[in-house]
Amino acid sequence: MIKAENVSKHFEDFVALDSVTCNIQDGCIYGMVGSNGAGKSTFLRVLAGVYKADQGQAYIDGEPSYENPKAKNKMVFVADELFFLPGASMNSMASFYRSIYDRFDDERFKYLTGVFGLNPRKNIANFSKGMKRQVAIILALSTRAKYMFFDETFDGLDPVMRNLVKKLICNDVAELNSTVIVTSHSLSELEDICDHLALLHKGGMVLDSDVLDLKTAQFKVQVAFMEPFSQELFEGMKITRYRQEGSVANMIISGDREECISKFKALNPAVLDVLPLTLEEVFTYEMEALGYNFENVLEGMHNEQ
Amino acid sequence: MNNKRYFSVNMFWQTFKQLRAIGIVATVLMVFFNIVTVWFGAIGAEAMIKMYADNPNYRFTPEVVSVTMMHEPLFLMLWVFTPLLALNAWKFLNKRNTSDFYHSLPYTRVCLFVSKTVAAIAWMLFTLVVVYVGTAITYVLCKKYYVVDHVTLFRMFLAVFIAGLLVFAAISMACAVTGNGFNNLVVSLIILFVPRFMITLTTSAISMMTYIVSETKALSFINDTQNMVTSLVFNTFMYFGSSTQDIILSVEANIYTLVLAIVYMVLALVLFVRRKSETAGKASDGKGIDFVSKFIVAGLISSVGTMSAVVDTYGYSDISDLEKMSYIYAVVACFFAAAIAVVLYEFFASRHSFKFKRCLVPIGCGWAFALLMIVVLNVSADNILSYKPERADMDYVIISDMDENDYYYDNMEYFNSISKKTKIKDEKILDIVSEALKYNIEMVEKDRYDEFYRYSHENYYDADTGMSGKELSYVGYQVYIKDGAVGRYRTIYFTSEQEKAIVNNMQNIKEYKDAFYDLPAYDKASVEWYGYSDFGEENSRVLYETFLEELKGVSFEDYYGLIKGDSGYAESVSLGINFSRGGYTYSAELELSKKVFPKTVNKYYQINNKEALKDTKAMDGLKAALRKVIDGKFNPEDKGKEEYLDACVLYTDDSIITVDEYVAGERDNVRTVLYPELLKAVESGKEQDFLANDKMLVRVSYSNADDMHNWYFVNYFVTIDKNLDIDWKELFEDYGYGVIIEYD
Repeated sequence: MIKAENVSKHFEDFVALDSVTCNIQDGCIYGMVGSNGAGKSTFLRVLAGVYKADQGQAYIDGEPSYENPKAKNKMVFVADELFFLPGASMNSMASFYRSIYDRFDDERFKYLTGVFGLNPRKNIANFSKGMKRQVAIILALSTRAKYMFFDETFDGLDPVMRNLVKKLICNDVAELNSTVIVTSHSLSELEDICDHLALLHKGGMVLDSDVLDLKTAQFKVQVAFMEPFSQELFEGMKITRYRQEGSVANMIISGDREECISKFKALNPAVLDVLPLTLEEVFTYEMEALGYNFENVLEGMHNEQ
Repeated sequence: MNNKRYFSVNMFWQTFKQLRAIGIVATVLMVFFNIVTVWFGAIGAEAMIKMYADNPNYRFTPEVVSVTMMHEPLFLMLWVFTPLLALNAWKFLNKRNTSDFYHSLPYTRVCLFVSKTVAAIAWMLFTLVVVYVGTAITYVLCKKYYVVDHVTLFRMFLAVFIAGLLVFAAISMACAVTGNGFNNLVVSLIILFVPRFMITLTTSAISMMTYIVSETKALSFINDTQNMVTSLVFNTFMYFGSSTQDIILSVEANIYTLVLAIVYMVLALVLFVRRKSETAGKASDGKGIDFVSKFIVAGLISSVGTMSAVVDTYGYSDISDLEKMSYIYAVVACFFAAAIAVVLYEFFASRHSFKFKRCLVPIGCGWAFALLMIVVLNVSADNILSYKPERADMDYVIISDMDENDYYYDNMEYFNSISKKTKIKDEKILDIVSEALKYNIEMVEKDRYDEFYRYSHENYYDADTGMSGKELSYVGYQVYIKDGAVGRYRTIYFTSEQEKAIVNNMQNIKEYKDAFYDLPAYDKASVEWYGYSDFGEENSRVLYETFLEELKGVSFEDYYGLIKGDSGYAESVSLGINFSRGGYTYSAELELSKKVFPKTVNKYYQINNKEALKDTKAMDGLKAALRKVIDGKFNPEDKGKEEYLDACVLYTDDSIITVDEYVAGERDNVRTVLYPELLKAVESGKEQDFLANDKMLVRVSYSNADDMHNWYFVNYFVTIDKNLDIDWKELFEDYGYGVIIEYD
């Protein structure tokens, strides 16, 4: 399990992380979103033992990650800016990783190299940006690390490769009970892979929740009646957002979905549509509920993309 | 010890592989420069031997390999490859992605530092071992052409390795606290050179203020040779009284440099562990380092101004009018230059994040430091001038020649070097040192110290006082006074009388005397008999062994007289000995007079004649020339331009008379009496005894050239009857050289 306790990190006057606390369970794919400077990369580096937290501590399986080879041996970190040894090929990088990571799996490396269709003897410097990212992912997955941290790793991959990577990560999680933390600017990139999502904003973690809970805890309802009606009609339901135009009302409701549908049906509506929320909508509403203006955050994230 | 906490073989090996390009290039280049140059020297020497194979007068003398010869290619390791290895080993710290990558690996920072350091040092060691083994083997294979002290060779490589460690450690320290290439270099240079430069600056100032301490010896516990790296560099630009071999082969310097390297290495490790990965790409790791770097720049430059002001004004009670207060301008100019330098430093180091306000505190502290130096210098100088030890205060003294020109050359003059190693406890000498030091200090305090300089030159004449250097001759010496744990160095001018008394009393010191007699065996030296002809390896050996045997019975007074050049104009035999001992390369030159070394000189003449007789062409020419002179046919005006005949009579032990063909033309008795005697002696071809007191020694020289203008020449020694009908005294007055001390 990964645990962060009141982790703070400053760069001179800039607050990169401000008392961030979270627990990440084993076998979880944990997505982190946030705009530039939100603290995603810094948080990953603190977890990976690259940065020492100014305050607080990050733990891997109960042990501090900073300056702890035992804890770090369980994890692999793929940074947003990749590094390969000068003049290295995939094979020589594999040799390098093999000498460092105790559980490096050569068979898996060969398999993944084949899956991605890369030439392992070719100088990595001659690879495209996307191919280099694939190499970094292959090497990371070949370490068979229990904890894998990917910092904006999907950015720069084409959709086919992105899906392939996601599939491979999901397989690792399923087979090895690995824990993966993925950061991204784009919420939609993480939506279909993560089972847990966190939102960082200005160094603080403003939301940290299970995706399923997020998605199922709220739903969108569109309902119409032949007779005039108002919001009072739906008294007893947990409506977090309500808008009515004429005989049609749109609302976001949290609570038990089936129970709500039964209640609506009992009111004999002319139209009843129950729709799932996109993660972006969930985030927007959750953030609003917490008092944040998520539109601004989203706007910043979209601009970066 | 392959764990991930302290040392990882895997990380070591990975780094070793990453550095292989530099290591291999270093090894190849150094092997080339070291070994190939030795081979080339040997090939050249062999070519010379072959070229002169037919010349009986040519004997090849092997070259004594000096430290200078050895070290030059090795310095590639120190100044090029070690910095490259260090900068490459730590370059990952300068980029965010590489720094983050390495710090994310499952190693502690200690393990990362130690493994990478050991890998870089392994390349240094590998390169030096390969080059050392190669060089040693090459010298063994080429022993015909070189005289090599293999202990020196090993120590040379060891010294370069130790110096390399210091360079590596300093660069590692710099890389641990900085985050870009520019600052890596600047801070490396600051760490390596600024402390020693500051010490040198301070000691130079103290030396200029007090006169009685040299700039290299002002602080006895810190001298210029201790830090091999800085002293080798400073010696390149200015002479500090120490040679390359002094620096490299000094055990004290080796140990000091090694200890400093270890201290720097430990500091580098501590700084590396404390370093934040986010420093990559930035000027420095935190404000502290940034401040220290700027403070050093400001303090150093500002101090130049205050120090020069102190030197200019020291000892003057009223400084208001001193050279129109030029020292104030120097201080202001240096303070201003310091501020500019710090601002430029901030600009180049920080670039986009340049902040002028970051310069203000370091500049202020630098100025304060420079002002503090005024107090430090004054207190130090006062302390030095107040030291006036009595005999009882001194454990011993070591007196070295102040004229240390020997150091400029590869070889140290052996006989001069002896006094530098002799600890003198003689009470008389200690009294002289005490007395002279007090007088020197008195002269400093009276501002009359320059008289020592003036009156230490014999040709100096002061028209105002009518005094000349000869009348008031002073001789400067460097004196080490051992009076406690470390002792002190003083530059002391002695009067001629004091110097003579010191020399006389030195002869009572057994170890001093013994060292003069301790010359190397033939096989341990390159021996050269200078003079009129050379006569092969075996003759050279026999003659040298005769000399060593005879030396055992020679009195120190006579021997010392010869060393000091008292052999006069006599037909002495010149001997040159080059050898290497204890890591130092020495040369010893001796003029062996017939009076002090009769057996050796006698043997020399006999061997010379034996070899000369083998050259029938030259000997026939000599005899023919003698006959022509006797017959009055050897007219210098008519003779071939390239034919010369000369006879040199050893008139006394200290005087000669040259009676060549011209004299024979002018003096009938020379032609009719002396030359027939010479011809008779030459024609007899018998081995003569040159020790007979009733005979006079004459060297007959002849040279000519064949039709192809190839020169040939011969020297032949003969003895003639003293009682020939010749007025030797008159002849000496007209054609003689030297001094007649005694003649019957």
